[in-house]
Amino acid sequence: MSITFVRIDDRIIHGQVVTRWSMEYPCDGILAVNDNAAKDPILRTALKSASSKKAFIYSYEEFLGKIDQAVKSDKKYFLITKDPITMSKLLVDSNLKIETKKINVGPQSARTGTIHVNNNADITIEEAQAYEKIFNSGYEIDFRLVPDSKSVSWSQVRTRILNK
Amino acid sequence: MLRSILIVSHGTLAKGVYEAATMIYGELDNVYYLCLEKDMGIETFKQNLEKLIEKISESDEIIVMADLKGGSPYTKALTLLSEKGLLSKSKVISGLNLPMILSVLFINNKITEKEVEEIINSAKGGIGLFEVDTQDNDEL
Repeated sequence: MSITFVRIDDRIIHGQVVTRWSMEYPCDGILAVNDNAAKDPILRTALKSASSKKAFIYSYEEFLGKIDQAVKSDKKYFLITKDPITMSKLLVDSNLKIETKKINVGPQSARTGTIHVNNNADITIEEAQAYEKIFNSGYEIDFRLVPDSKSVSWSQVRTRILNK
Repeated sequence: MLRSILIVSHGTLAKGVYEAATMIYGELDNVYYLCLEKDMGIETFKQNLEKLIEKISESDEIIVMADLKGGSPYTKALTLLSEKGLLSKSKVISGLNLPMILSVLFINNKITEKEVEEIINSAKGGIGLFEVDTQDNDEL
């Protein structure tokens, strides 16, 4: 298996946006890791039907159990989580080996107390710490909704955000 | 190549679709909207549309999306584009929805008939009835 593209997106799977990213990176299917979506059949169905790509929705624990099976597959996958905390658990705590060192961040809706990073990307301080943890493990983090839109990298904003 | 995109509608649908697209796509360049609003009057709409079309007349291609086939925003756009000799470099598509505009935004090359078909398919593809999927995730 190879993970060709990694994204953090609070909608998890957005049909047309995933399709657009799959024009930049090869994609046979989508691995989405989210505990809430995995246990909710309605949400799981909605997400699976959002894109024309084959999508798999796992809880964090389920996904850890699937890694061995996934490694044996020769398919290319996009890995998506809703939030950076789950992503940092996967990449740093579980030390998931992936082929790319780039993490893309799509929409992260504004909530009370969030700090603005880019268009439709606002993060909490806990999320900032998770991004920092991912960054310190050698990943490049790019906040960008779609390939053609404005990009802000974590390395440019981390000092400002962590010092808030 | 400069592409201009114009969205026209009844009510505030065009503005709403424009704003919704910025949430998903980010800032939109060379995208304009015009709404035929209640009590505005078709003449005011036509004058505003004329100004907008003048502004984008130098573009290499013009994509117009309208909410309703045969509605006033649609027919006024067609009439004005035709009067100004711009119809040959324009594509006018009806049935405006969010998947449609995203599909246009995601195309970087020139929009020929093939791309128009793709745009229309994604606009239609967004329409569907929700049905619960009872099958579990299959093998990777």
